[in-house]
Amino acid sequence: MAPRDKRLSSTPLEVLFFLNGWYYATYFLLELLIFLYKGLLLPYPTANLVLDVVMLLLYLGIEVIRLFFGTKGNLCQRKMPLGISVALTFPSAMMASYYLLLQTYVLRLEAIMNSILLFFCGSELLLEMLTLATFSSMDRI
Amino acid sequence: MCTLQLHLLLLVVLMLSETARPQPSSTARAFPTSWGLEPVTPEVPTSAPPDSSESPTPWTLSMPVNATTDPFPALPICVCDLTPGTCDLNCCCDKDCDLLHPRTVFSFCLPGSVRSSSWVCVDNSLMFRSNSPFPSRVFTDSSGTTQFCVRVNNSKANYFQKLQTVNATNFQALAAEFGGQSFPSMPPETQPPVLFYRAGDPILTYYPSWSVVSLLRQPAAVGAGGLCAESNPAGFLESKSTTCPRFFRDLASSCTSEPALDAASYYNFRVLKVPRGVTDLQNMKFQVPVTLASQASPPLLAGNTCQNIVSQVVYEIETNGTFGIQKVSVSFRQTNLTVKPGVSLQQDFIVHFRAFQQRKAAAPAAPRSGNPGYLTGKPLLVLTGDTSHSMTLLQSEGNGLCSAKRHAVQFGVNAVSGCQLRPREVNCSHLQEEVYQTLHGRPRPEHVAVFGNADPAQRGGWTRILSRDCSVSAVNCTSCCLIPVSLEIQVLWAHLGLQSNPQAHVAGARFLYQCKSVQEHQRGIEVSLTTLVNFVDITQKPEPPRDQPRIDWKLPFDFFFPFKAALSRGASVQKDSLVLILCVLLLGLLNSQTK
Repeated sequence: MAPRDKRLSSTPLEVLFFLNGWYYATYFLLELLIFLYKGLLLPYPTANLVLDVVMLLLYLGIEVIRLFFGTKGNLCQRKMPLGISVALTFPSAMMASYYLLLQTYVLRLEAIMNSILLFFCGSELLLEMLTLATFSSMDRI
Repeated sequence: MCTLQLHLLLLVVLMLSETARPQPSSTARAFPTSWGLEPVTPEVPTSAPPDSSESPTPWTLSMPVNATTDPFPALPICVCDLTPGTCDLNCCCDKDCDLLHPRTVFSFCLPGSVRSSSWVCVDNSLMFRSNSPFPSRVFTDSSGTTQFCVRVNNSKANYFQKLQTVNATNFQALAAEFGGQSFPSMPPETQPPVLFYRAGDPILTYYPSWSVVSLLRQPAAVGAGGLCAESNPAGFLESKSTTCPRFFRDLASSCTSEPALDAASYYNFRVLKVPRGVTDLQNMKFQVPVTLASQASPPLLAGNTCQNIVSQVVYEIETNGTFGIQKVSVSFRQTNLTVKPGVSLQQDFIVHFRAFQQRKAAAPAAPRSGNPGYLTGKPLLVLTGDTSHSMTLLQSEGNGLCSAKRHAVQFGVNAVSGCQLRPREVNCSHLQEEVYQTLHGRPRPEHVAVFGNADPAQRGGWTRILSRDCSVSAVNCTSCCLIPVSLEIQVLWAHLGLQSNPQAHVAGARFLYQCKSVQEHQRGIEVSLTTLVNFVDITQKPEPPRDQPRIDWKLPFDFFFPFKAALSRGASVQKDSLVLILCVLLLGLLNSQTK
């Protein structure tokens, strides 16, 4: 195990996780309101609307698990939770890409919000890889 | 040794990630740029959407004129395909035309040949991308606003609603709900007689010897044989001439017994002036006898000849508007006929109506005060009995006394006049009568003309003047005499018809009297009288024309203004964000170096 006097947790990664958590909560609420808006004003097929809302809920589950395991892995300096978070970043990025490009109606507001989410995913992925490398090198020493 | 290699590896990774950083942002920025340049191509739906996908559309626009329709109009029935095997012009759903884009060939599409489209539009600045199964377009209207429109395949817009089941129970309700005006059914027989004859009405006759009410006959030829129909009535104000033949198998016996050949049967009755005369048949005031205008002899059988049989009957009827028939005269033409088998006689029946000449000759046509509406400054026409004259106000002489001459009331001109009256009589009733005649003139106006071209013979063109005299029972004094001292004539008028050609008409008129009591036995009194006319305009103007209905916007015009402002200021903040990224990287590097 790692020595107790060494603090290997990444503060920038924790900052990103914190900001991403609050940002995703805001994103989720706004998406619900936007779906209500599009369902009322635009001719939204019911099947497409149900699919988009269900995928939004799925996205919520993935994001919550990813942020939880990422925070846990980073603060506890454990490689397994951080690895799970790294693995879940790819489905999360796929979800954001879906809402950016493949949704039935993509508003400009949604495009901007999903772009920011993709930026969060990219940044967190990079820092998680660095942190994992740090944990591995410290174990070897 | 290994530590140095690890540091070099980290540095290379950082440099690679740093160079790859601006790539996705430029890619994301390219999307709105390419979006605004060219419009979105329409996506043809692969399958028809279900009916349950219809969502409420608060505001829809009609299809723009220059928009191209669906390349494959899926109309199941082509209503304008009238010639099989040949292309019908402007029939956009005709398969025989074999056109992918019929609207580019035809100048227009016939109604029913294209599917009805309903477009749902939002502002184009809201939309980033559309993956909708419905076709979508970007339209620019005349005001320069670009809109993103989605065409909904609304099946309800292309078909009639489901028909209701009609049965014996709901037939009456449906007929009452959707039925319009129809010809009225036959009126009941117990209908009371009308007040006056109208054009085409049968003319009522009365036989005093038999006390029978009948109709004035004008036999006419009916059927293929052309025999006389005796029951054909003569219509009021319908001057007509009819001819019919009469055949006699035994003229010798019919010569003196056939009533159609006897002249006496054509004038032995009386004609009712107005239809309401049937309620009082003993009153001669409502009946007019038929006068004989020519010599008439009864038929006579002399040897082999039937003499003095009627071959022509001519009725001359004088009418006077709603007062009905004033005078009826009949004249005959008689001939002789030889008695032989199969003989026939041609009879002519002529009914001629003429207007009453006496009043027209006596009274020449009065000038009109307008045609039809009143003109300002023209006299206000009133009616007393059958005489039409002008409404007048009292006028004073030089010494202030009431003059015999009176001032005519001019339409639209308010006027007031006054004078001193020295009554000659001291009796109360005589005094009242003199004062009233001085105030409203002689004769007293009863009706006022609605329009300036009102005819005295047409009572419908006049309206009654509302008036209430001073009542004697209002006071308790026994020797007092209540007389009016002031008369206010209120005339309500309004414009009718087009605003560009308004016609003034009188809606109503009223006499308002101000009363005062004077001593009955007082001599040498002077009464100060005042008359005034007040014209009140009660015209109701229509609502002013409104502008064309505008699009009901649900959102502010520039929804993304805060973000655009942030983006415009983001260019200057770009360096700060880069500095922040470098700080984060340096921090990570420092953390890794403090092992």
